[in-house]
Amino acid sequence: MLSTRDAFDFYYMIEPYLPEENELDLFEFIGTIISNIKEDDPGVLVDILSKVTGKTNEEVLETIKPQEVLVILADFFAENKLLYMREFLKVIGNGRSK
Amino acid sequence: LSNVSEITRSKLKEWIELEEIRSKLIQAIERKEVRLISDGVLSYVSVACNFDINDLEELSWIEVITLFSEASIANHLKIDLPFLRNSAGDEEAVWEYEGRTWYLYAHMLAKEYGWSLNEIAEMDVKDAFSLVQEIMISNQLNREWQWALSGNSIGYDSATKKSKFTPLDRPVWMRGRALKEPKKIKIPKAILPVGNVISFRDFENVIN
Repeated sequence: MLSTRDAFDFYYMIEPYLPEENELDLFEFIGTIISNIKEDDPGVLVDILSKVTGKTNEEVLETIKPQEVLVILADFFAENKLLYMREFLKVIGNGRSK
Repeated sequence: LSNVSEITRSKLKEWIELEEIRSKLIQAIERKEVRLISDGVLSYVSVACNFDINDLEELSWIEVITLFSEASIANHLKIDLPFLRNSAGDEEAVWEYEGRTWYLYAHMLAKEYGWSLNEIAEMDVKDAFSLVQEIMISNQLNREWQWALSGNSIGYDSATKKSKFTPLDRPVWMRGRALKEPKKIKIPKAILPVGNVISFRDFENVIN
């Protein structure tokens, strides 16, 4: 599983593309992220897949088929429990001290 | 993780440090400063659980935020002290510096009770803040007494041609909630009831 620094780095990489709705299932959630990235800048998807798989951008383009992207990202999200990250940040961000 | 025994509330000095880390973390989240967010979470857990940050970096993020949540709950202060409630909006003084909160409270407690910095650092947070509030109340009442004795507290009211006492201002958290005068509404004569008006109290007397 990701370390704290890697988890936050990864989360903020995809944060601009997160769906607004919280009630989606994992595949809908990842599907919306992929659509949002494709609309904005498809190059980001390669960067994300490179981070997820540990491959270089060239290797990602050569070895990963488009139909595999959803499953790879869904597996990565599930394994790293990244859906909790938004909730965690919301709870801490809503806290006010001092 | 197996080294972590039950997380208990930190003592005063450590608790203040945790609150400062939390404040910076909230700012970092608002500004989306990723590096500072990771630093904040790791520092909070490191201080609250006495873990080395390098060891924490070996743990998964879920383990770290689980520790963070447990430490946050343990350090949540369940007392409602007026001086803490109303201090958030204060403007930052020019003599403010990072980490001053600890020295401010330590100074007040040491001056009042003569305790050493080590003794104050190890105080229970509730005790410390309750005593700090008592010190602040006592200081304010002393100032009010000195003000009342000085000539500055008496002014001349030219309207009544009498002298008038002006009390010393209290800090916001020491002021009671002012009761508002009920608004007077003029009711036209035409819609007022005609004849003897029997109030609810009169009605009760009639029944009895």
